[in-house]
Formats: sequence, structure tokens, C-alpha cells
Amino acid sequence: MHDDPLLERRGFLQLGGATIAMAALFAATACGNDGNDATGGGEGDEEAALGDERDVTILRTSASVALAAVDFYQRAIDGGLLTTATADAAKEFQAHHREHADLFNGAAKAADGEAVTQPNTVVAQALQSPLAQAKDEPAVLAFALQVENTTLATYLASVGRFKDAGLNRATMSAGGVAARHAAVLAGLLHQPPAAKAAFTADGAIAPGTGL
Amino acid sequence: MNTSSRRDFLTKAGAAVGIGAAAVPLSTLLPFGRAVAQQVAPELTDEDVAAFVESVELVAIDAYASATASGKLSAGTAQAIAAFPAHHREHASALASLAGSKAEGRPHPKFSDIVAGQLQGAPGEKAVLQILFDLENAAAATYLYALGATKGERALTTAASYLPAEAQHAVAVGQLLGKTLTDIIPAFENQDRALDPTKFPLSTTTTSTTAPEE
Repeated sequence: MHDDPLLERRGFLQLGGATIAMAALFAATACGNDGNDATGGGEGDEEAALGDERDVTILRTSASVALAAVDFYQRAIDGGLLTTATADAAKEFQAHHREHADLFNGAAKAADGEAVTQPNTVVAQALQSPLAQAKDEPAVLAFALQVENTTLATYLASVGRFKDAGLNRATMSAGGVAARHAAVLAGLLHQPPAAKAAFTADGAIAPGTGL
Repeated sequence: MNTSSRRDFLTKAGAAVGIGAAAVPLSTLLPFGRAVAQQVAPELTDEDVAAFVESVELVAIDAYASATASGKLSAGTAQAIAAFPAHHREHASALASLAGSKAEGRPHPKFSDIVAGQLQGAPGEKAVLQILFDLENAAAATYLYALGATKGERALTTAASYLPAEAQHAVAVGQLLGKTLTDIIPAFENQDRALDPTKFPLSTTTTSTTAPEE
């Protein structure tokens, strides 16, 4: 039972030995933040600026992960291993991820950050070679499920970390959709579509990684 | 105890956009953020919200029990949804812990009556599943609501952890109903169907007219 999902929130994905400097900063700044106190602790502008910067980093990372999902589905569709019905589903999921990337990029730009245009390199590199070697539809779908779970974990990891508390809800409005994608994919793989009572940040891409 | 007014919460916590310009909460630029920011709501603590969502989870547990006992579901369908009540129980238990003394440990009376009546009148499996489908989507939407209405990290991460489970339940039940992907997967989760504690409060839910904290 996950009585306190917070306890399991630190399971960031570390692929290829990537140094996650931003993750350390992220964790350090988050440790003293019980909730989303936008007013900070008294350092005023400096803390506010740090909060803005952290929001932007998280948002850009989320956008990059969403773009990695878009890229993944394009490769999956182009690979020719999917049946027409599955390819149609892949296109729909891809469109959702594109909208999510737009949401995160829009929010990042609104906070004076730069939009991300490239897929997250950590996710892309982790999947590119295995996907190229996939020989049938189930293999592709298994990677798709992995992409959706990584995406969801990344979004979930950011909840409670934003200075702008409204971003918690915005992020999980996309996270819930990734979970729905995962349920459909699990069903196609003859797995239970809704096997978990609770989700954690295990496998999340740490903020600032793969940008 | 974390006290939050949803309106104040979104406004105060919003990142100011632009320098020297009028501060605009960043969240109001996002889908659904604007509408929520304009709502006037009584103050709810994280514990109030947790107690409310617990009561919704308890409605779901009862609904699955009634659905299964109704004899209207095929064995295959009953098997497909068999795990879900335990998920809802796990959620309810964690929320009760979060709610502390505010937890009532009983299904929300109003929602319970509505769902029980619907299930009783459901003519067959399809109608029963439609009720469960609506209930799961409402639960997901309620967690999305909670993500905007709570303030403490524990409450936020709990809601974020359980929302995906409800969304997946909705997909599973929707697929049993033969719904299309478009019917079961929106581009974004939304809180249009959220059950709102400010409209249907639990008896212990407190309201306050005190000025928002600065």
C-alpha cells in the first residue's frame, strides 16, 4: 500500500550514466518546500526567481518527454509493424502527446523560459536501438508501454515541486492521459489494463535531464 | 494544518508573467485554470478535501459490491473488474489517514444514494458498466480537482498517485462497454465531472469567511 507516495518519489530514471546535475539542484531546492509556498522563506526575489527557474526546468523536461513520445510513435508508425487499427491508435496517442508538449512549452514560455523543440535525448536514445530491432507488433507495443509509463512517472514526479501550484493540476491533466494510453497498450499486450492501485515517480526523467 | 482557498491558492501561488506588468497567474493561462481561478469557493483544508475524496472512494467500493452482487454482470465482466474495489479501498484508507479526524469513514450520503438508485434501476450489464464508467471518470476528475484544491505535498502527491489508477479503471470499463478510443481517452483529463466538496459538503467540512492569508 502506498500510504505516502511521497516516499517513493525519488526514483528518477538514470539511463546511460547520465549525470543529473539538475536533479541534485531540484532535490535540494525541493527538500525545504513543504507544499507550494509561493511566498518563499524571506529571501524574496531570489527565491521567487529560483522557483520560476525550477518551474521552467520542470516544464521544459516534461515537454521534451512528451516530444520523445511523439517521436517514438512516429517511428513506430513508420516502422510498418503495426496493424492499421493499432497504427490509428498510435496516431491518436501521438496527437495527445503533441498537445501535452504544447501545453508545457506554452507554460514555460509564459514563465520567460524557452520552448523545447527536440525530443528528450535520454528517452530517445534508450528506445531508438531497441525499437529498430523490434520484429513484431507486440515488441513495438511493449516499448510504447514503457514510453507511456516513463512519461507518466516524469509528470508525477513534478507534482508538489512547482512554485506555480496551478501547474500541478495542469501536469496531471496530461499524466492521466498517459495512464489511459498505458491501459490500452497493456490490454493489447494481454496484460491487465488497470493493475495498479497507485503510481509513483519510479522511472521518471529528472528535471533538466536529456534537454 | 494546511488551509487553502482554491481561488486564493491559485492566485497567490501563480508565477507572475512579465516584469513590471500586471501579474498574471501562470496557471490561468492553461486550460481549465482560468475557470477555476474565477471560482469563489469556501476555504477547504487538505484534510477536508481528503475526507471528501475518501467518501467518494467509499461510494465506489459500494458500487462495485452492488454491481457484482446484482447478478447483472457476466462472469467475464465481473472478473475483469474484480481488482478495482481493492484499489478503491487502498485509496480510501490512505485518504482517511490524510484526513485525520476529518475522515468520516462512510460513503458520501448524497452520491451513495444516487449511485445506489442508478444501479438498482439498471436493466442489465451495459447500464451497470455505464454507471461504473461514469463513476471512475468522476473519481479521476475529482482527483484533478484535488490537485488544485490542496496545498501540502502529501495531499498533492497522493492525488497525483491515484488519479492515473482511476483513469485506467475508466479505460478498462469503457472497453468492456465497447467504447471507442476517443470516448475513453480525452486529450487532457478535465474536472468537468469532478465531485465538488463545496457543492456537496461532508458534514465535517469546514468553511471559513476569514480573509485569505497573505
